[in-house]
Amino acid sequence: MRPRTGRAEGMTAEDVISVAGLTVDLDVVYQRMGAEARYSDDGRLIHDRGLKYLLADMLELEADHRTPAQPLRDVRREVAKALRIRGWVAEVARNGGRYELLCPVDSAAGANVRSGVAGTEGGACRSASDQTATRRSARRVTASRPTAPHRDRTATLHAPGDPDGALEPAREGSERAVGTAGPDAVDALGAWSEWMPLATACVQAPRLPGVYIGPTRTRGPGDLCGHGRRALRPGQ
Amino acid sequence: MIYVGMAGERSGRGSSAPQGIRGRLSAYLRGSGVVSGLGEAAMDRALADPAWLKERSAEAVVGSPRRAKEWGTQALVRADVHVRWLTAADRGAARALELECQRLLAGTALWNRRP
Repeated sequence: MRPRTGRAEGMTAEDVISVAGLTVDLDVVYQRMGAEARYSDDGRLIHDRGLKYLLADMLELEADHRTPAQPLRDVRREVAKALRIRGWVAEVARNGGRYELLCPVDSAAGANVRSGVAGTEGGACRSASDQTATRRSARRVTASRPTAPHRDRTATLHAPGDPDGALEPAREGSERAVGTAGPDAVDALGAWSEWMPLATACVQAPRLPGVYIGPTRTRGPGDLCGHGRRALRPGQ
Repeated sequence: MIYVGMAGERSGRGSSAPQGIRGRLSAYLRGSGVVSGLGEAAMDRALADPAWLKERSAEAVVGSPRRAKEWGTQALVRADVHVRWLTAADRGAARALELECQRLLAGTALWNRRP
């Protein structure tokens, strides 16, 4: 089976799903869903056309009213899961094929998708505007339901009920973070994977036994934060 | 590093393929692991965050309360966790690795409740 897409410059692995040789950019999928979605009576933005039809269009596969054949069935399952675990969509009803869009739909990118600018090769590559699209946050579309993910660690670091910092993650350079052996010794235990966001790991982790460890990417205000691949200051 | 966990074969049900580490991580993000392991640790911290609780409360006020599993997912989204993994030959080897990681990280502020 031939690969449908190449990876566009600037595209990150975090939002690209590859199943059975088919590569789908979740940003493009989301924008297409946004272009096809409608507002429900209670103000929610709903996509109810059916993800299989959308993906079939993107990947030039056949789809009808029946259960999709492979590989479309696997692609649909993995894309739906990836969209859910990123907090971009929520199922309106289990197995109903309808999704509520939880993030703002970028109008420019959406327009590009509708006009066919986004995505050569069946729409699975990003246009230039898509490549620079900001990472989505789990923010509801409707202004009356703000649910932006809480990125500020300050509240956590000084959380009520946690006066001794028992709920506080390890801070590099602090006495609490100094172990008898430390992270460097853990590194030497074997061939670890790259650090990656949990949502990405849910797709890319092996179906094998093993051990996983998780760092927190963000630290207190002003502190360098990050572990592994990134070192960012809060707000960057 | 804030957490160390182990996943066995997780052989699945019926004809489904073993899920291994992927299955464990996916369970957390689906919200079904909200009362154990990393999911529980993230939820503990979310529940100690007034701003996060206020957001959940606001959803209920406007008539769109989230389900328990969605709370679990949101708690992990809030935690913004990155992970990496090391595969093992079998469950026993993975368990030994987990214990060794926890021993090496003893004294750090791991989220594990029983390191």
